[in-house]
Amino acid sequence: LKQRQLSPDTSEILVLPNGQILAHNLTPNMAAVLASLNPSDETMAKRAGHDSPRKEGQVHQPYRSINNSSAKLGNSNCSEEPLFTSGASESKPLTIDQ
Amino acid sequence: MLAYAALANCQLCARHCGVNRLAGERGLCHAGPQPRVFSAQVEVSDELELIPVFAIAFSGCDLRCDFCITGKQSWNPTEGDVHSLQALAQRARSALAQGARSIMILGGEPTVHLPTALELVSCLPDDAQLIWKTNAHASAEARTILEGIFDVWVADYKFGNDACAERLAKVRNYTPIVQENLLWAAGQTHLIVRHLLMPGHVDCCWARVAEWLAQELPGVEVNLRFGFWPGWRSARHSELSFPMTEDERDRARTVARRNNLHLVD
Repeated sequence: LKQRQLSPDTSEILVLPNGQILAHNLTPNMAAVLASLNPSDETMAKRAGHDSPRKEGQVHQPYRSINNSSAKLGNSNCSEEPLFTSGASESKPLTIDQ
Repeated sequence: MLAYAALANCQLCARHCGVNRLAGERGLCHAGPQPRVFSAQVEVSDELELIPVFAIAFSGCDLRCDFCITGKQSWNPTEGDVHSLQALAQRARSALAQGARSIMILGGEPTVHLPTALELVSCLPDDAQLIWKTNAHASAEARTILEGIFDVWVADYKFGNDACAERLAKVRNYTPIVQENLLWAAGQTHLIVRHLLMPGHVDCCWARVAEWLAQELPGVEVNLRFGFWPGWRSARHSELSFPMTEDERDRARTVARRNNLHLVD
């Protein structure tokens, strides 16, 4: 079964007639573009600059380490086998109207 | 592994269809035993406290939201491509090394691919902040498997009543199920609740969601999403054929203030 490279990073934008721009799957590069288009958008500036530090005193403690949940996760060997191991590799149109 | 065995009588989502996915049977989600990935990239559109996020998106979902922004991939689990866990984990490690703060597993709906999601987690660095982005329509059985795995749950509360849920997402008994999931998650982990504002649904959906959150989960972080996008099959519903109006956004903000919600960007 052939594995594929992931497609290049992508964002989608929708420009409304009033000039408003909606964005989906916003990548850092697209955030930088949108921030440059509207420098007064403080939230977009933060997204473009990643200048959103952790909350004061926030220290990450992974739950799965704390709870020793390795039994649940299993002893994975991080297989190089494809995730999808049966059926065709091409996507298929489905009748999925429900 | 325990989680994979669950696919022989799938009870992962609250539909409880019970199909044997290992034997080729399929439920409404159409998901088989293993997922495909339709996106894996660094993104900055999630909550500011989480970004940059390395987001890994599995195709397939147990809901049928006509307004789904990723409807093509969410409604069809054969969308996307095949990738090894090792390759995905390596991409995640690279993203973390380059400044990503979190790794998010999402869909579609990742609950329907819970076994593989957990196997992927086992390949990720122990100190990585892991986020489970979900529609909060998981079964109790799935929650048992998920206990103690993810640092943050970003969970949707989409509809304020069952009638809107059934009409727009073809799901019954939505309200008690999502509320049960949110209460469970709040007791387990760091919970962020998202609500996508939809045109024509400020009063019937957002106001009711806000009131419940204020009463049952006071202080929980709420991300009110204003970027409704009239895509996929939104045009099936007249009110969803257009973006939000500014008046509706203002009314939504008023609802949030009235309920003293802890809004986050």
